[in-house]
Order: sequence, then C-alpha cells, then structure tokens
Amino acid sequence: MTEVKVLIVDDEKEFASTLAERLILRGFAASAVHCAEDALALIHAGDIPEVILLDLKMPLMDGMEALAAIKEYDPAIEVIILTGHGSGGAVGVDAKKGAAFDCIMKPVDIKELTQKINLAAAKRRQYMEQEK
Amino acid sequence: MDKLNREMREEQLAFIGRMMAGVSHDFKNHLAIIRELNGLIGDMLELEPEKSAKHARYKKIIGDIDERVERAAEMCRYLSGFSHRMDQALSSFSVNDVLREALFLLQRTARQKQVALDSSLGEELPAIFSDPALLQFACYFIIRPALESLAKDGRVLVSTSEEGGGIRITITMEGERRSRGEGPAPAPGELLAGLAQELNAQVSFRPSVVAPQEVVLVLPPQIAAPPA
Repeated sequence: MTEVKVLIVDDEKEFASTLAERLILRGFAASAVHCAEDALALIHAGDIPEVILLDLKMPLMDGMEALAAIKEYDPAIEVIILTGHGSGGAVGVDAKKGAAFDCIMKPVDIKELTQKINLAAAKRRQYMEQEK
Repeated sequence: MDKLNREMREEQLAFIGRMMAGVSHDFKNHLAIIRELNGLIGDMLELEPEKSAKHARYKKIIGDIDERVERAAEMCRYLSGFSHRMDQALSSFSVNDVLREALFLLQRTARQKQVALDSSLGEELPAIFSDPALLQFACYFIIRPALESLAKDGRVLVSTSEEGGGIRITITMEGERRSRGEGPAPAPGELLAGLAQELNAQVSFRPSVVAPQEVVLVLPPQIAAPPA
C-alpha cells in the first residue's frame, strides 16, 4: 500500500507543522498549510491529497466553508475536522452534514487520528477503484 | 422579573458565556500544541538507535505530561459546554448533559470538602425546552451548600428520572453535618423557590427547608420541547 497523502489545514502553525512531522514519522506523506485558501489553491493546481485534516475556526474562510468548497471540487477527498470548538457533539453533527468523514476534538490522540486517516484513505481508494 | 431586567440578565449571561467559551477554545489550542510537541519528543526518543540509561524515565515524564494534558482538555470540554449553555436563554437540551457539566465543575469543591459527589442519571429521558443555564444555577445552588454542610465522608447523590413526561431531579445528602459555624447554611428556600418558578418547575424539601436531606426539582411536561 502506498503512503497516504495527508494535508493539514490549521492556522496554528506550530500545531500543524508538528502534527505533520509526527505523521511523517508514522509513514504518511503529510504536509501543512495555514489557511483554507492555500489548501484550495493546492487542490485547484492538481496537488490532490487523499485526506485533509481541517481546522474549524480559521480567519477568513472557516472550516465549514472550506469543507463545502473542497467537496464541490472533488467529492472523493476525505476530510476529517479537527476542532477545539465547543464540546464536540454539535460540531460533529454539523461536520457530518457537510459530508466530513469524521470530527476529532483537539488535543488529538495520535493513535485515534492515524486510525481514522487510514479508514478515510481506504474509503477514498475503494471509491477511486470503482470509478476506474 | 420585568422584561428589561430579564433581557439585561440574559445579555449579561450570554456575554460571560462567550468570553468563557473563547478562553476555553484558546486553552484547547495551547493544549493541542503541547500534546503534539510532547508527542514528537516521544517519537524522537523511540527513533534513537541507542537508548540512553534515562530512556524509561523520559518516557514516563512524557506519559505524565500527556495524562495531564488529557485531564486539562477534559476540563476545557466541560467548560466549553457549560459556557455555550448561556448562548441563548431558552433551548432544547438533555437534563443529564446539563447536570454532568455542573457536577464535573463541582467536583473540585467536593474533593476539597472530602464529600463524594455521585450521580445516577436515568436513561433515555426526554429532552426538555427550558433555560439550561438557569437550571445549572438552581442545581449549583442546591449542591454547593450541601457539599459545604456535610462532614468528611458524606455523600451527595444526584439522580434523574422521568415523571409524568417531565424530569425529576433528586438531590440527596447522606452523612453527618458539619458542626454549627463550620459551614454555610443550606440553600435558602425562598431564592430556590424563585429559581424554580422561573424554570416553571416544582421544588420540595425533605424533611424540611431548613435542613433538607433531599431536594426534589420536577421540570413538568408542559415545558417539554415542541416537535422540530
């Protein structure tokens, strides 16, 4: 199985870069950008991640708007919402309505996160296989 | 309470809630960074080709930091939930969720007083449409004096059940009372009766309002949430 390509989108630069480093150490092809606009620019340029870890609260375009824009461009990109907002329940429901794969509360548990990334990537790969 | 006073109180609570929610959100972001940096140190330690003599000690410290981060994050999650209860005065909510937040935030007082604060919350209770922040305040107003009036090794038990389509909250105090002058008096019945009236609820004290061993708050079915 080829390494899973993951893009972290979070305006907390230290969080995003450290998480990317930890995912790389675990065999993922991870990179980070610090706003939704940069993530969309990458996707529109053809640099398509399999899984996006998306922060909810960001300046300018927020996570839910970004989720809608990503899904409109390529519904097969799987998005996991990472949030420190609220107590989780309501955010998770909204995220699922917006077709996110899942929602994880910050601070994240790295084992739980890597399991969910692998599940999300497997779903995308199955979908891509069926589309061939 | 007249309309203007009520609106002012609601706005003030919403303001406090927004401030608290913002701070707890920022705390969670800081905790997320601490956890990732701490985790990265752990990853790097594991990748070292030769483990130092202090490897196990370092791993233990990293584990301890992670455990503290998790505990602080749990507090932030409850604080967030509690803060957002004040966003709007009336909403549809689970009484059990509201009580879990209040009880979590009162655990510190319970530990200090060496009194157990336990719960036995009924399953599959109907959601109600009421003022969750006011309900938390009413429960706080019963539980905190109870914790302070009980002697060491006492117990406060909060339980919920369905009653006639509404929700019954029973707060029971078990154990010896502190001797006179050691703690404040139990909740004044008059103010609690006022809060219950605001919630359209019934409150009763057993055996007496002066030194209750059980306080029952019944939220009636007529304030149950209308279908969405």
